[in-house]
Amino acid sequence: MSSLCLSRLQQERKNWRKDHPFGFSAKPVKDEKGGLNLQVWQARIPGKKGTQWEGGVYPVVLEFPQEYPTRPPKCKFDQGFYHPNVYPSGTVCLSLLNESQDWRPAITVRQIVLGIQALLDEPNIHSPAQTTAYNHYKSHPDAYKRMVAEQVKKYADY
Amino acid sequence: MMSDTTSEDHYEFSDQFDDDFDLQDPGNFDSDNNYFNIVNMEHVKASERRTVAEIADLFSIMVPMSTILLMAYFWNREKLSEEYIEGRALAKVGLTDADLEVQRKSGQKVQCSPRTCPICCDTYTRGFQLACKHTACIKCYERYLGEKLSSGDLLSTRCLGQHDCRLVATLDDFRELSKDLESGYLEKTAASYLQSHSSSFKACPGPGCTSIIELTSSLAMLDLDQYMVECSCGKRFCLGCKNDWHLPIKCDLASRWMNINGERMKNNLWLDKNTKPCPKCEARIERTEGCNHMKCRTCHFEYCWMCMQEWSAHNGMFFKCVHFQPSAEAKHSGRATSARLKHYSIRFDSNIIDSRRDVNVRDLTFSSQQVLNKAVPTLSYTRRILAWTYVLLFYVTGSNQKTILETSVSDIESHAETLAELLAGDEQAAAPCLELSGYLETRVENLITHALETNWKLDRNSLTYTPS
Repeated sequence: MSSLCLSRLQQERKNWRKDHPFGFSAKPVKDEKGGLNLQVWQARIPGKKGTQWEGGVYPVVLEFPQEYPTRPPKCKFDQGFYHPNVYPSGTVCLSLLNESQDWRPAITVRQIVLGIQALLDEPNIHSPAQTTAYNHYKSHPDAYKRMVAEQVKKYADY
Repeated sequence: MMSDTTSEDHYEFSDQFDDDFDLQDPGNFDSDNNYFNIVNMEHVKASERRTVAEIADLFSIMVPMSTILLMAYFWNREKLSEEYIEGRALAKVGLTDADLEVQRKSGQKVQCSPRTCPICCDTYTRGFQLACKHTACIKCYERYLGEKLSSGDLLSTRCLGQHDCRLVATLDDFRELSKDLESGYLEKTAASYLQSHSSSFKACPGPGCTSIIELTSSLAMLDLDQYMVECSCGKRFCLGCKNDWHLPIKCDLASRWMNINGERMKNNLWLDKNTKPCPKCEARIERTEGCNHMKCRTCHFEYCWMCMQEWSAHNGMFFKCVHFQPSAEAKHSGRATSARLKHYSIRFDSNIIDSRRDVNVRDLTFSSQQVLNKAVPTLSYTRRILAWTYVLLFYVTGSNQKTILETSVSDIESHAETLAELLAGDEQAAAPCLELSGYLETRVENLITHALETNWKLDRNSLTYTPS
């Protein structure tokens, strides 16, 4: 692992522990030997208050490449996550996470998870990543609402 | 000889094997016969600098910004000019008019009191800033721009100091940081220029060769797949597809053939399994996930992954391609095609092998230098033409023209055999050798003309055949 990638992630970890947005969590996962793997983080992102996503807390895995922070992390929901901008594999399609679009090396983990939270209720109709949610969102708003509500239940925060 | 488009003149390829066909001299512009020049990268860079300077002049912008805009527009001056005047060009690289003013100044190294770098989070006193004056540590800047260089991405080299700053690091900033970064940047922009001018510049595919074939405008307008060149390094290749030359058939059939005949499969197994070439620039593209909407990173062409057609024809149908039809007939009559394939590929392979072996006759003791210089290359050339003619025979349907072609092939084949025997004999008779090679040259020339000028009907089964 490049030392820049590592030292930056350590600092991101420190900053997150010092202060992070309410209701969110994010931390490196444990590897086989029980140590921390700084390049893979498990985050939990709550649906925004006042939106139909409220009430659920959605798990997201952040995978940081060797070239981080020159290149952005890959962010994944569970496979099959219902959202117009999430690929069937769970990968998030977001300009903020696209190296040739809005990604900047100075963007922090905090800004990433807040960006994903905002995307939940504000899908980008110009870059759909899955058929089901995209078609519902575009042409069957009732079905879309129902599916989102079901998913909120699935990920309900107890 | 090539600048003229009358039919006969096109096909004098055997000339290229004569010693007097001098291509070794780069920059030889003065003759009408020249349809290409062999140049080096410096020549390309000079041409690039002229383009950049013209655009910079036209819009009164700085040269580094002109370079970035041209790269974003794939060096299409007309399109850039049009959209620049309409005020849309800057947005394409994520900048505004105000940013453009700021970017007139280059970045600079700064000494500062100890502070924390937003990228590596270490404390630093030596920093770097773009004209926006957002600072990050100099090590992070060097590393970041170095990584951008190696990925070839010079359009999103953004300010490191602040996460929402739009400014782009340009040539001036690379230069301020280090000589290495500057020269790396210049290499990459030249490569970008070369690639987007692929209709007039062809980099020689010869191993280790850095020469570039520059086509004169008259040739750049023509179908390149009938032209073969020989670089100063000795590599001979087709101008259309840059593969080994394949007269008398054209690139599309030749590449189909290479696919099914296995040579390419062996070399590029992974590539063939996992990637498809961009339908416009042929850059190899691997799709890891996502919808069918593809955008080529190299030429920015947008297309559909299923049918490889232009994306605009898909009306935003992201997951279902209306154009793609899996071929139902492919299985039907597959066996008959497979037998034909075998028939022709045996003949193709043996001729290709012979064309290489015949050249080695040079090593033997040989009395007449004249025979060596004339008959040996002619024989090798004839074998190669025969090999590719067999490929043509595999793809075309039966017709009178095909019968004529077959008759020529068998005649040429038997004369080539005779010549090979004469050359391999102990005491070579120079006169019959020269006479035979003269005969073969004429026959082969006529064969090429015939093959290229006939409007062949292609056999559906052959075209769609894929070996299991």
